[in-house]
Amino acid sequence: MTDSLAIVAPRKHPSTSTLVRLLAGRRMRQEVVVSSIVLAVAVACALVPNLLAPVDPNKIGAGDLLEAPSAAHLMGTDEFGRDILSRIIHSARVELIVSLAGVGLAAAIGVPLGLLSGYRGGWIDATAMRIQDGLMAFPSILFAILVVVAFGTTALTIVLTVGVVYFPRFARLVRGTVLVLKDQEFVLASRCCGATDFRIVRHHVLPNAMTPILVLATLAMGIAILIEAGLSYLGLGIQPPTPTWGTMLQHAQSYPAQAPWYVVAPGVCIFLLVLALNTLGDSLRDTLDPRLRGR
Amino acid sequence: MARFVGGRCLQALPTLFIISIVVFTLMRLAPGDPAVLRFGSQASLPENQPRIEALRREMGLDRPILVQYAIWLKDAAVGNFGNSLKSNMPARDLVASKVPVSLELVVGAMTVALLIAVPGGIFAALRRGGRLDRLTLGFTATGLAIPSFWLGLTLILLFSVALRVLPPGGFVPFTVSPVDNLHRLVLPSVTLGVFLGATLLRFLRADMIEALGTDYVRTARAKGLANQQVVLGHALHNALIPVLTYAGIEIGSLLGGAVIIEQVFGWSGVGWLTVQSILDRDYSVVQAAVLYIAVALTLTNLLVDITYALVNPRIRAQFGS
Repeated sequence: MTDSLAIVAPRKHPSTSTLVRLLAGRRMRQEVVVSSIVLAVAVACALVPNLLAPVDPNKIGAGDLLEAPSAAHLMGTDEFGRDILSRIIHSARVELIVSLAGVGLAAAIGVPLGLLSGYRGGWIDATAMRIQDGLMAFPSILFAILVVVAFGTTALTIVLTVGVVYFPRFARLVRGTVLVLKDQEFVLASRCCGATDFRIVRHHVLPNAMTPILVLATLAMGIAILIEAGLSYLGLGIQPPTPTWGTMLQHAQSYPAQAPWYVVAPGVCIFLLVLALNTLGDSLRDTLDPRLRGR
Repeated sequence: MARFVGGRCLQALPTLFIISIVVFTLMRLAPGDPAVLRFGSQASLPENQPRIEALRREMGLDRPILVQYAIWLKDAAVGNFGNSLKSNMPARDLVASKVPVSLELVVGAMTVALLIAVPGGIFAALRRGGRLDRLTLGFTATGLAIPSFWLGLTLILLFSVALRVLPPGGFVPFTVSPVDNLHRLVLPSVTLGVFLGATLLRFLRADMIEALGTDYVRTARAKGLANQQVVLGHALHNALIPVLTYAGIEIGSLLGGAVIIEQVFGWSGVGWLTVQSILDRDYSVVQAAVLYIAVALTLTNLLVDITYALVNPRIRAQFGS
């Protein structure tokens, strides 16, 4: 019914033209291209680590103990003689899966909650806001430590932790967007035409909230990687022998003088991946926000 | 104004209540019975079983979970979190003894952050689009993406291992040796300050750009005021308010965020105590420390809101002075 009246909500979710805009402009293109390459390399490492890694990441004695970088071991070896490059390549899968699943879970809880909270208001909104305030009053790493202590150090726990730490941010963002959108003419017109609340939210409100959700998801993935790395560094992350960049750093800190490359290599990987995700998130926001375009 | 302050205080109460539920529930879900943990390796001896049961009754662990929570909340409200399993000292006293240590680090980090953000933000806004602006934008992107614990390790590698100009870690009280204390404060402060400085710089740059484009700045320039007076007296004065508000909020989260940095540098503050207590399964201390950090964060947010309302004429006018 609503469609026949040609009431068209201004959809802003990313499309082909958005990607073109994202890649347009000299400065923007350079940043986005470099970030995309970093992300593509990380995805390739996560998808086919066995093809890319020179040796088995858990092979003890692949080289001498704490061997300096050489042609045989491009990033040197660790305290058990394992090839650091192979371990770094195999870690990418864990990092990407944990951050993607964690942010996905956060969005899966936060987006419907934000929609409900913003659209309905009243006691639902008040209760949801207070719970979110309580959860956001914890520094994220501290909350993550508590959850991991309570439920154990598995990949699933870390995904749950990231989900719980980040869902209030998604909920607040969506709630704020809904509060602005629900009084817009196209929503009122749709309601006048007899559209149900579910239809209005599904077809008019949600598509318009997709842009900020996508930007937050990109930025949140970077934070999720930092949380996972922080937990692993404290020995509360995914347990050995599964290699992760944070666990590698935890072990590397015992040998800063003997093997500085061991400290540098995993840290640079975390840094580059988080930087790439942040840059892509920022570029996406700049491209999609008309106020920031051209600045 | 009293209505605003009262309203904000009331809003903080449910938040604190929810924090207490989360901390209590998560610690009860953690594996290991506190009564069994107190007996350590002797817990499995048959002669200790009646003593463990007696201790469970004494600690109230045999009661329903809601009753346990009510008792815990009542005790927590007066600062009684029980004794540490490890040292048998009151958990509250243990945490309180570490608060000044953490506060010193927070002050150090905040100083570094403001030293980076204020001049950086001003110059980047004045030279918008220029080389200096691009440099500061590069710095903020790096500062936000760099894992703080890795930056700490790298600084140790550079300044302690290679150059040998600063100690790699450890805490020496200021009263024992002021020089040594400050020497050891440099690396952890820089490590924590870089992330915060990058965030504040971003805020200040954006606010300064906005302030420099306003009518009152244009008027000040039209009156013939010197550039320095316009920038520092008019634009910065207004741009700093939101930045200082954010910096205030960050004081609370720095107390918790320093958890990993205190671990890297062996800086024995609240964060270090929390992690050590978690590794030792010393739950009384963990509960006391986590609740302290969460309450500090909530109260700092509250104070920042009130201060912001005090300096913001719009809110003052809304609630009447």
